[in-house]
Amino acid sequence: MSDPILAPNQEAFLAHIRARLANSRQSPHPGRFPARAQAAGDVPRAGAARRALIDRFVAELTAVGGHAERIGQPGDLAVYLRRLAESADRKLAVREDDPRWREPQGAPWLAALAGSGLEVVTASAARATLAAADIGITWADWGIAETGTLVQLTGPGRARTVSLLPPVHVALLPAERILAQRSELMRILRESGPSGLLPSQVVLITGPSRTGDIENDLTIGVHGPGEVHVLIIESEADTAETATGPCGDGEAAPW
Amino acid sequence: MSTSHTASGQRAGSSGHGRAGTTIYQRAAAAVRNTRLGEAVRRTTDRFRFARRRAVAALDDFEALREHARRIRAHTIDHLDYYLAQLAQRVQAAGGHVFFARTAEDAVNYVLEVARRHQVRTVIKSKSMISEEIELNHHLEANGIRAVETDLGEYIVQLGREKPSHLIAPALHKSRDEIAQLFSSVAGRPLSTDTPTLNAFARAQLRHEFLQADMGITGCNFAVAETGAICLVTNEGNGRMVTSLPRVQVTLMGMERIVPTMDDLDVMLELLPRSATGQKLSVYTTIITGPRRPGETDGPEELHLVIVDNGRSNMLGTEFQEALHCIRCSACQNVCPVYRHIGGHAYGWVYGGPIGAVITPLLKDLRDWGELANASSLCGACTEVCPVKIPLHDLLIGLRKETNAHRPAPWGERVLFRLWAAVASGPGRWQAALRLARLVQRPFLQDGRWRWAPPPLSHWLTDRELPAVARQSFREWWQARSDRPTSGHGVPTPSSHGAGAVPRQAGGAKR
Ligand code: SF4
Repeated sequence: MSDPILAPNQEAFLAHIRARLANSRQSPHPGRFPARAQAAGDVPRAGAARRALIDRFVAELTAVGGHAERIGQPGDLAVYLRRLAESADRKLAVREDDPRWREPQGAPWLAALAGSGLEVVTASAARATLAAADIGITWADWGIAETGTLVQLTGPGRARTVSLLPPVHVALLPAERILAQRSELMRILRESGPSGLLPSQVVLITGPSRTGDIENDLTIGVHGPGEVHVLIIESEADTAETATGPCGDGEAAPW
Repeated sequence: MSTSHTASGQRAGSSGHGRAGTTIYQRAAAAVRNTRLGEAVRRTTDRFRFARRRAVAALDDFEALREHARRIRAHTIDHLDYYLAQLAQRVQAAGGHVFFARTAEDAVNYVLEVARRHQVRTVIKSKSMISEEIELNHHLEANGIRAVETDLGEYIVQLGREKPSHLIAPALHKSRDEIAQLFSSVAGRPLSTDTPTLNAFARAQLRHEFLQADMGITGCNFAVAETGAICLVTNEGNGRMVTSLPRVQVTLMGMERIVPTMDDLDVMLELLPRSATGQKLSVYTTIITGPRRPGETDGPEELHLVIVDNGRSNMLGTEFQEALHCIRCSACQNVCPVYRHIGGHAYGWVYGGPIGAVITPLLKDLRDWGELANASSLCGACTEVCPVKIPLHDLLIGLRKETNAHRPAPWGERVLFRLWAAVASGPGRWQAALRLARLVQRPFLQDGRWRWAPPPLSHWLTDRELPAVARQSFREWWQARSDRPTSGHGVPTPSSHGAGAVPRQAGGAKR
């Protein structure tokens, strides 16, 4: 860890606070909230528990106005994108330069993009191009079932704007990346990286952009995307009707 | 307590606010006469408070969460110096710059200096109440820098050259006609008043600003000491734009807006959106740690965190310290009967509602602003909904005491209350007074109420009803009743002869 360099004015500013607080430091920290601390214990999940997470994720996302679709094959992605493109004459898509596209499992998905009929550029394209894109395509890092939330991290090749500037956001979310609760994400984030440094930006996305600022009239898509599509990639184990998790089928989801 | 701090002596820069020339009573009276305003405020606050009620009911451990959150806030503020030092260290370790601003002036000057160094011409802003406190837009513009608010509500309020009138719905007082008028003057052509048209116009207009601005300025919902992260909670996505597109990011943070750990942040995120809009989670929760890193294609190259005191330390170590626990959710505004009648502007500065009535006098000046503590019926609805359990109505009573200590009551009032105290503190004197009142009140009565009265009572009666003193007091009724023999099933308990406060008959209270 680097040497603490004091910020300008820091010493005087904090000394003033210290002096005012001198006689009133009685409150201990309450620790972790017990219900959340427990729930964070049981990842990863499999079998019925995971299917319950997927169901919950889909229900919550739908409730806030997002679209969820379960897919299995890269071909499903191509079909979905083609339909999105044709439904509103969308032509240009931008994708992150995410390392996952280049991994062996990622390559067929990248090929599917080419098969969608859309012109696909990467986030390193000029800003004017990004701003003109109709669809932004990302790999989600996590999903959170209890709120239907997508989690996007920044990193090399990972851009903040792909899930933000285009009016439509399409995220690929592998089913095994769905967490039950946000508290699990907090723990993962804190424990990630040897330096303890979080990514420069972590964004939790829960449905489409919205506002009620004009006479309380709910409006979708004011600055961010007005459409959020999450394609949940299920493995065969997720879809098999009689699959049993390692802890047995009876394991109840924590809600 | 000394609260002689003023926001660096500046009055409102642009027109329409900074109404220290009027009293809360005058402003409230004007607001009550504005029926359209009343309707607008009630419509929005009703939606929020009903949504909040549903969201809260959906959690079976909400009360436990509130108590947990209260303890986190109490601990954090009690150890604020420690956590701010940790935060500063972590932000710097992530490559950010930290500046501690004791006054509004310090904060403004720092932001101006950063802007000058980067030759900034346009600043895009996401919502920041601190920025309103220090009147940053005014100062930016005075220095030739355009400042554009990008939260839709803030944008509307900025075009109208007003202040926000609610913590999370800043333009709730504006009608769609007024909004269409403001937008039309920017567009240079008449726009229709339907929501999609207005929304599309604002989106296009602000999109242009997002893409060409040099600097982004944000507020801060929470900073996390253990990681140096800044957390922004928005629904529109403008906060993401402001922290993704410009070269430079400046975040203004009230020094109390900090939590120790990521787990603590999680608890606050459980409470804030639910208490504010009734959402389980706001659409965008952005957690920012330092500027962009090598290999990343967007995000600011430079990040500055400005930690602002501006009067907050006045509350530390006093009975008002708990006011610093606030997470600015607006729940107390939405349930406050006074706020719901007069809206936010009548409070005269930046913060309205119960929390505004508490912190405005403490942040600014007790002598000039202490009267705000009277803008409350002390019903306690605010305290009941506050997600971090701030005893708002107790703080308001405390403030009234403080204010009166600074400004003694007029001579007549003091004599009157002394007399009242003497009469009310002896049962004999009290009963004699009642008997006297029954006689005296006769000429003033109509339909069992006081119709009029001589001064000073007349003034008191303009907004209130005073029922006539009853022909028989409760005590007299009780006495008469318990002297009568009863044949009930109760066991006589002859032990009490005192002031008659203990019923002699168990069934005696039934009628
Ligand atoms: S005082 Fe409590 S209820 Fe009011 S805004 Fe602050 S946190 Fe919310």
